[in-house]
Amino acid sequence: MQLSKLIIEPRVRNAWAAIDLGFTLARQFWLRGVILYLIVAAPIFLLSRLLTDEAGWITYLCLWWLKPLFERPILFLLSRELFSEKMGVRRTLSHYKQWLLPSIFSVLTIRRLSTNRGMYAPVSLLEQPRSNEYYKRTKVLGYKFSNASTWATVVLYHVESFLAIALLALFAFLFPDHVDMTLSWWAEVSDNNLYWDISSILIMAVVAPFYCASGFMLYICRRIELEGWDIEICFRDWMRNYTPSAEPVSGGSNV
Amino acid sequence: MKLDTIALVETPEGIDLQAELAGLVPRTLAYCIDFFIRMMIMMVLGIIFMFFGKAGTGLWLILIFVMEWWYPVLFEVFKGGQTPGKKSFNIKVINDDLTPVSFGASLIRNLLRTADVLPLFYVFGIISMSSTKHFQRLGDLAAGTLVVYSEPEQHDSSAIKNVAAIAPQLALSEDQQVAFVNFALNKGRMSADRQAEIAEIIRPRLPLNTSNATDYVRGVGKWLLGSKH
Repeated sequence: MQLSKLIIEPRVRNAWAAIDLGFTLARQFWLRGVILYLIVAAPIFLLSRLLTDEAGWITYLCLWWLKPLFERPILFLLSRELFSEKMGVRRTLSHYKQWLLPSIFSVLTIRRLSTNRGMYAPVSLLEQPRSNEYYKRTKVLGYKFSNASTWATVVLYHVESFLAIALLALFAFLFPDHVDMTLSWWAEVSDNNLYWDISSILIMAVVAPFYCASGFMLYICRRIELEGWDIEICFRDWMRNYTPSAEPVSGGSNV
Repeated sequence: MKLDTIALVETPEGIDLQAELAGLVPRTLAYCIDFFIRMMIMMVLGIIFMFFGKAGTGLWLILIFVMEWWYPVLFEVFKGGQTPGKKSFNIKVINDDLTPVSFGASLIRNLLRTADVLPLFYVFGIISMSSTKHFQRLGDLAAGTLVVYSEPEQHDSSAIKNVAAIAPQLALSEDQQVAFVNFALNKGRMSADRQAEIAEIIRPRLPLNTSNATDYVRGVGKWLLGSKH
């Protein structure tokens, strides 16, 4: 971890600004994030569709429950790119052992329902503490930040649902001749599995990089202030061009 | 250029001004608070107006119009760019040259909510805010406005209450001064070990007779904040 290679400005930020920085970061790596998400999520989605032909809700439960898994390659990519290490889609996938394995069972079970999932995901992936240390660590990190982190989860969860419904409405607005916006039409569409299947997975993929990056930036910004990264970077830069003889330092008045 | 969420403006005098931009999540929540306040007012007055028959209905329709179109404009223009929701998140609306928001700009950005709200649930606004560099929704783009964080009123100086201020014997750049001050204020509550670790980095720069690097850096930080003893 070389702080001088950070691609973000290491400032002390409040939690909301950390989330905003996450959006800026997500924009930078958005396309790669979406592709990675689809590569991991689409096969699992198809498989569960084939296996549970009758009960569609199981597929969606599956899809929702496995979100932390789908987000992992994006988080892995971000964690490397943050320190200027170039990570393409293929390169990220080839490191699958590093992003798939660490604490994956806890992440998909006891840690799954936490509303701070996004902010604590980097702890599981990058720090990999044992379970009792995990709770101590997240408590320290969550101080002051867990409130905003929860709201980020809530807001982005709603954005996902809104996008699905709004897409449908947009369609109806753009083709008024072909679609008549009556209840029966809505009912027909809500029974149309293909539409919901495709739109759900695409929308999840589109939003995921923003959620991952916000959580990751909450985590990083908390560490910046907790560990004084901004100060350390400034002091190290200052020492870089230091030569003891060129600049004698003395003890104040006795010079 | 490192990634950041700062809007930079250079004045004709060559002075750089900056403001920290607010993005989707705090703005959405601020909107929800305003929405809730508006609903409550309309509901309460709606119940009262019910007792006035047709005149009451008329008054209520006028109220809806005012609440829908003038509530944000009036607050933004007369309350320093802040509706109650925005105030609770410490964010405000300003023009994109960082001056206080003007009446015309505020009116445009709020009238164009009709564009942002499409097709449903502000989805165009959400997409626009997430994808533009300055987190602007369509109304902001049209009016040339930004939503930014207000400057914090006061720093929390409890960390340096018992520190003796030390006048620095070194020439410090602006960045270094900020680092010294941040070190002294210790907003992140760094541990003593970590503080010592960071302070020791610049040990060769410090006066030779400095015994405790942490205390020295904190002292200089306090001095830079204006305290001379």
